[in-house]
Amino acid sequence: MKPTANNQQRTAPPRWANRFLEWYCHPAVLEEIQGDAYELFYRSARTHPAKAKVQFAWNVLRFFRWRNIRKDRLKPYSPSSAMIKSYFITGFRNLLRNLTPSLINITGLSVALGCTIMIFILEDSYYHLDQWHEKSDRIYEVVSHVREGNETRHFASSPFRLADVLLDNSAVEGVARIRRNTATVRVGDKVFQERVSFADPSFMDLFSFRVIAGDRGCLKNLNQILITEQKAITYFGNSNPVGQTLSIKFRDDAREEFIIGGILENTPLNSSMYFDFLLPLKIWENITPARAANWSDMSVSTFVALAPGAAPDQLNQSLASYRESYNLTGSPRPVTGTELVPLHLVARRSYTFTDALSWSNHPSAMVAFGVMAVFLILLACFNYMNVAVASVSTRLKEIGIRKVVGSGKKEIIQQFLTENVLVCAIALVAGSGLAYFVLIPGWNTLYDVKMAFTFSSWQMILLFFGGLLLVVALISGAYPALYVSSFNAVKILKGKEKFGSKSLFSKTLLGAQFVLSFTSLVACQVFMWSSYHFEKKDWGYNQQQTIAIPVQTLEQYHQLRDQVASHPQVVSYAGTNQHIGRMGITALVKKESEEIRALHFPVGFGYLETMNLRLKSGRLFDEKIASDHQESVVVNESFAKTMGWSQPLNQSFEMDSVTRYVVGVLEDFYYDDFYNAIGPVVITIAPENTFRVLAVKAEAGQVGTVHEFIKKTWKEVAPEDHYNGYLQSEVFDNFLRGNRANNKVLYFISAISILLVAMGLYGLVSYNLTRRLKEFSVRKIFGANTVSLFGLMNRDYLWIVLTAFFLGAPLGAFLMNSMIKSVYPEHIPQSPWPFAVAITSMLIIVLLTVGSQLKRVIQENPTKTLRAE
Amino acid sequence: MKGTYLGELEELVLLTVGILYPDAYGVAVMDELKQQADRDLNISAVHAVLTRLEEKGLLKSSMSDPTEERGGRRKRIFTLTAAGKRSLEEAHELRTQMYKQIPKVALQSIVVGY
Repeated sequence: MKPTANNQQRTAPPRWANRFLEWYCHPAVLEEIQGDAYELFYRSARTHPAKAKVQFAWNVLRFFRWRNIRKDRLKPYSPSSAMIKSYFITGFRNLLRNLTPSLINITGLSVALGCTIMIFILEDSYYHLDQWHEKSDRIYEVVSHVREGNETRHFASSPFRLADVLLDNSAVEGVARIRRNTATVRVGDKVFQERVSFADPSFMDLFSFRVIAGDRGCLKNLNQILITEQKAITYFGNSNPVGQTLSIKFRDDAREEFIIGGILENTPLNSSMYFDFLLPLKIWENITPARAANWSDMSVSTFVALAPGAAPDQLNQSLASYRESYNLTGSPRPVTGTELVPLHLVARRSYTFTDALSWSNHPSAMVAFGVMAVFLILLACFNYMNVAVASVSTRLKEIGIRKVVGSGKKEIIQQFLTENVLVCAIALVAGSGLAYFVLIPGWNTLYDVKMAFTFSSWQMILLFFGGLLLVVALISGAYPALYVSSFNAVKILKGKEKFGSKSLFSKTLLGAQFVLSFTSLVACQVFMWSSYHFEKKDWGYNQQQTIAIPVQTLEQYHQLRDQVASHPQVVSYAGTNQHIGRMGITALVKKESEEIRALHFPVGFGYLETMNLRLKSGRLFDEKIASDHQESVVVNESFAKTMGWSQPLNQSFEMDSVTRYVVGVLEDFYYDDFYNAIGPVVITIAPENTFRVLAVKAEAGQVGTVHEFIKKTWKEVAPEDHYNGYLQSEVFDNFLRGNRANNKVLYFISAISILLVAMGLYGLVSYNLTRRLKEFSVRKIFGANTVSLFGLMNRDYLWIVLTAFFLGAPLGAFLMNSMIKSVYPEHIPQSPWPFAVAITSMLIIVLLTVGSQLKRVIQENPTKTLRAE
Repeated sequence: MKGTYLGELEELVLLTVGILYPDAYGVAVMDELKQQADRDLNISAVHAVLTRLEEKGLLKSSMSDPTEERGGRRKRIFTLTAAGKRSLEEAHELRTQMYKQIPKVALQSIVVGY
């Protein structure tokens, strides 16, 4: 509810009541009744809008009298509704009579529907991220196209002063900047490293993040901040946090006290932006005035709300002055263009942005999930179709009688579709429960991106569930209903209509099921193989022995270094400005006329040795050589290759306007997660006063002990700062954890696809067996043994499985490989394992499923079967 | 049909329609009854009575021009018919006639006893 002055004047009566009135009221009296109700409503709405609404609804209910009701709403009793009731009853009885196949159907459908519902929720939230902000259709983020060497990067960040340019424009309603930082937050003895964001006071006007206590506009005051509910509980427990103080220490040792001005609702799941603390951006400007004034320092994310009706293109053109100011700074990375990205696309495009503020899933993952959902639904539908067609054999007499008594083809189709809708509705309810209680909580334990059982709108819920029910009911039920209804009544009752002559159809269906199953199975396996590949990947250096400890000040560095040096199990240690794995600066290197982007690591002496980087040729840095302090560089193989050198040693090149000489070449190593290919790397020597990380190499196997020691030492060295050290082997954990989570999801999906196909097979086998029981009995009498019977039972299915394998497996491999190719730059060699795993597991499942029925054949007394009838 | 017998509420409504001439419609009748007779009636009840009276032929109605306060909807304006007028007169006559028959003593004793 937004009680603005404007709204109050135009309060309308409750819509539902008005609709109800229009629905029931006889047209002849509707106008006067509605008119009176409205008149009374408007009369009291001026003073008591809430009371007026209640009154309106009450009046509508009171008008609901026999005299006022339109009589055509009351339908007369019709015989067809009695038939529909009978369809439901027979349908329900039939479900109970064939409990096993019904359960197979319903379970299969529910599991598939549950997965589909979860995937739909995922997609729904993905495509509606950030659209809940009231002004979302008018908010844009300014994205700059920056040329670096020969490539163009899209920066989601922009200079601090861009906001001034934007505010000059009349089409702009408001501008808000936000800057992400980390800082050490302290309340009493609680010290944590936190995500602390600086924002303009207007940030809270542009975006609709809710403030549950305190003052929404408190960022106007320099000493007030907003914190989330969750953080308020962490720091202040149950006491009222508004008005409390906490102290925040920024990177450059500036510590300030802040008063909590308001409590933000925890960032909603449908927001792509996350923050825990919001501080006035002015603070950042005061701490680092030089950066704020610098036109080429991409320090903040800038959002702009346009006035209603204003065109973003026009505003974008007026940003030329920003480009000029930026490029006048002489930055080697010129801004070539700007773009206003609508808020609802910001998250979806974030993977293409540099410095993206928001985050969301990669679009190809969303496509893959969507395809999975369709596959599962199709599998379940085919299952249903197969079992339904097969189970008709037990209901032939019923259909015959119905036809004789007067059912036409239409009625039979109606009957079977009604039954089908019943089954699908049960499955839909069960599937929703499954998604709510099992699948979504499961997802939330695996991934950092949480999801909730919510939809973007009511219409979406109706559309989705209604559509799903309709589609599933039609796909799975249309064929059986048509097939059954075409039987000839006389033949059925004479016993001449033999069901099963069309087994080619059910075999094709079964085949299609196996194809789908193989496709998803192989696709999952291929992905798992690729993640296995990443887990086992050589990082280009031995990451197992090193620990990295970020430090805040040089003093901390010295103290910690001295302590570490005295520890007996430390092999070596070194300071560095940029640490491999999480950091690195972009540098531009001149190659003839063009410029190449390279990653630059300024490090201390001994750092490369401590990190176990492998030297290919030349030498590493030596403190005793004077030129190593100045112009010597060590590069990686990729750098040499990019520069086109066959003999890289002693070559020279210009980087950031300084001439450098190559003294050594390292083997390529991974400095970023595996989404990016290894690019050119330049390593130089950094002066000690710029060190930000201490790297420590422990004796093999002693890394845990040394890490414990460092943690303890840290508390003495820097009691005020949170310890941020980590093992080098954990650097890519985020990436690998994401992959492991994906693996679990894929395991689950493959298990379901196998399960579904096994269920379908089971249903079919058990029906076919009933049909062939006499044949088997005769064979038994003539001396067939268990093995030959088992072979006979399997023969029909094995060739279906094999054909399906040759169709489905390559398709699955192709689909997943093209997805992997779109995400990872590196070519992952195709392995035969996914295929082997898929066919083996499928064969085992088929043999087990068929084998489970074998017992029936063996134990059955042949004379009993043959004597019957 | 119960003849021309008028209920108490019917009589009041009929009177009000006469008072409000020529602007008697649902809400106006409701307000007038509240004001004059201190009767709290729901609008639907007023409607029911008005329709019943129209069915009995005591009232006739026509639609007015649309007004903005009703969201552009028209009012149904009620006026007395000749039969309506007659039954009001009859009711009134009956009352005064019967009232007159009360012996004075009876009325006086109430005043004294009071």
